Amino acid sequence: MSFVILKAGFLTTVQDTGRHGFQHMGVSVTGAADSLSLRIANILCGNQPNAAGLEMTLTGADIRFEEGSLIALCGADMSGMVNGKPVPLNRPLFMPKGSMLTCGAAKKGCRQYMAVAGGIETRPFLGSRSTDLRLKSGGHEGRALKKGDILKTGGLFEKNLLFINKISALSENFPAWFITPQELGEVHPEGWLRFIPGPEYGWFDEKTRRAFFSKVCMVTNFSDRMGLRLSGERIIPNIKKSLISEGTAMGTVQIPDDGQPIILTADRQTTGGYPKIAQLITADLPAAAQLKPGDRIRFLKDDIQTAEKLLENREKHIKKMETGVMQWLKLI
Amino acid sequence: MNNKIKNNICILPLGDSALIVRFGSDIRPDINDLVISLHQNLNKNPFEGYIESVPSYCALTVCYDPLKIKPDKIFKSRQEKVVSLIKTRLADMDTIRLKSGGAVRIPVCYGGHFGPDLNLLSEWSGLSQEDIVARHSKTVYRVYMIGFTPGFPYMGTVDASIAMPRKETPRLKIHAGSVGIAGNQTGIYPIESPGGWQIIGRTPLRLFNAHAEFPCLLSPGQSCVFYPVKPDQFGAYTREPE
Repeated sequence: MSFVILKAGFLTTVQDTGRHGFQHMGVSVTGAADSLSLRIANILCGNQPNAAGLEMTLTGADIRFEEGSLIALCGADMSGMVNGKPVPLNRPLFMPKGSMLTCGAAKKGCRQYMAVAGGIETRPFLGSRSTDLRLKSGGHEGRALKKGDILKTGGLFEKNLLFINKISALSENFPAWFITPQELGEVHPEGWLRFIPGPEYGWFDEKTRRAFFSKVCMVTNFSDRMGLRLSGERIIPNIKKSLISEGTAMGTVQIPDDGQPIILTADRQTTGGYPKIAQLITADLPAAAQLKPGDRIRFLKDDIQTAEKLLENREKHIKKMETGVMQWLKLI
Repeated sequence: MNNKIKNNICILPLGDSALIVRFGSDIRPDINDLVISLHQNLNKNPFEGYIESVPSYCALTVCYDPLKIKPDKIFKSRQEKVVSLIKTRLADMDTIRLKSGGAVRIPVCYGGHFGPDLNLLSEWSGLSQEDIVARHSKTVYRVYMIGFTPGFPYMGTVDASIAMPRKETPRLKIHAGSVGIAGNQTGIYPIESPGGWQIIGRTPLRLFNAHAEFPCLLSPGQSCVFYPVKPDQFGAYTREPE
């Protein structure tokens, strides 16, 4: 099955769960910035968890489906329409042969994910289909998608077929039920980003630490897939020494020389020499990936036990959701 | 393992899915040997939930999936269990004493348009360009880590007389293969990228090839020497070294 890009949007790339096992060679992990939204979209299509999908940023893509396909849209609402009629997020959608999906600007949030039954089939690069924009590898020709690109999907599994048969038979081409990522994801009710103190937290005095986690800061225009660059009160360490370069992680909050925090994200370099004041908890990485320039954020200090508990709860919610969807599929 | 180093090892959380195992804070071969030993030990015999580890000069960042770590009542968190697992590994592991022989030989065309900063380095050091080339190429360097871009080797230790600090304002574009100096480190830019190192030459060798069986030419712990070649020989050296 193939689909054609009629309009690419601001930055649309092929992403999966990332390229793991090559950071020791300096190869970035890349992958979906909001991995939770991609995961849910894949579940709604009956895909394997590592199936590649599209990540759309700020403004979405317009796509024509050359054959009947099953897709799901999760993440930021980009006012998706099919042949002029609005289609909802967070449900499987059947796209008849020749139908066209149009997506506009994100109403809230930053990134929308489109999964398609069978996953997007591109040549894997070091075991992953994620696009590495710096290395110009992976994904579709190692670059952002553009008008005229034709992408193919992989073979369908039994689960995919169950979904397709059931959804395509519905009058609206989508079910009445929907899932709520917010509830699944255990996000903070006020949207604060929770962190665990980083290895160099002790380099910052009490007053500076308080400035870090009580003051609001803003996401600047210089944010991208490498990191969210924030602006706010300057965070200056007490200790004035160089840090020898070390490995970083998704969600590491670095303090460069100008005192403006950077939250490292999917395309971050594998190592860094700036002090790491904090590390976002994994459960809040999806929320961070939905931030766009102009958004205001606040950090909230948390601990490892809470961080792990949130992940456990999230996993329970997702498994329960999967079971519920499978039960619905098997009903006549 | 040297007891002094053993007592200085610290394992710090990097959030809920990673830990940094720090062996020291100096750039030294014996400390780097420990980093690489633990990295290889974990890769050869991964614990359940281990994803990968990233070696650097003095530390190893260990990445894991907390949901794959079975909780245990004796530990306050899954992370605490991973810390304990790592401590056991450190106690039991054999330190790999990396061979100093068998250095990879890297041909370099020094100066001219291949090394735009060689003149600057000459002014800074008070040495002639020939002298600088001799000093840069006589040292057997150790590759401490690969980072910044795929295949970029951080090597040490550069002769103090030519250890010029990096530029305050990085260049927007450095050619692939460029050989540079930043203080006591030397390295090679595998792909075109911005960068702040002082560029003294260029190698035609490919440092990273994703389609090769071993994508990276150099690995942490390896030894490396540079040798000068003339500009007209540049084209002949497009294959990997023996």
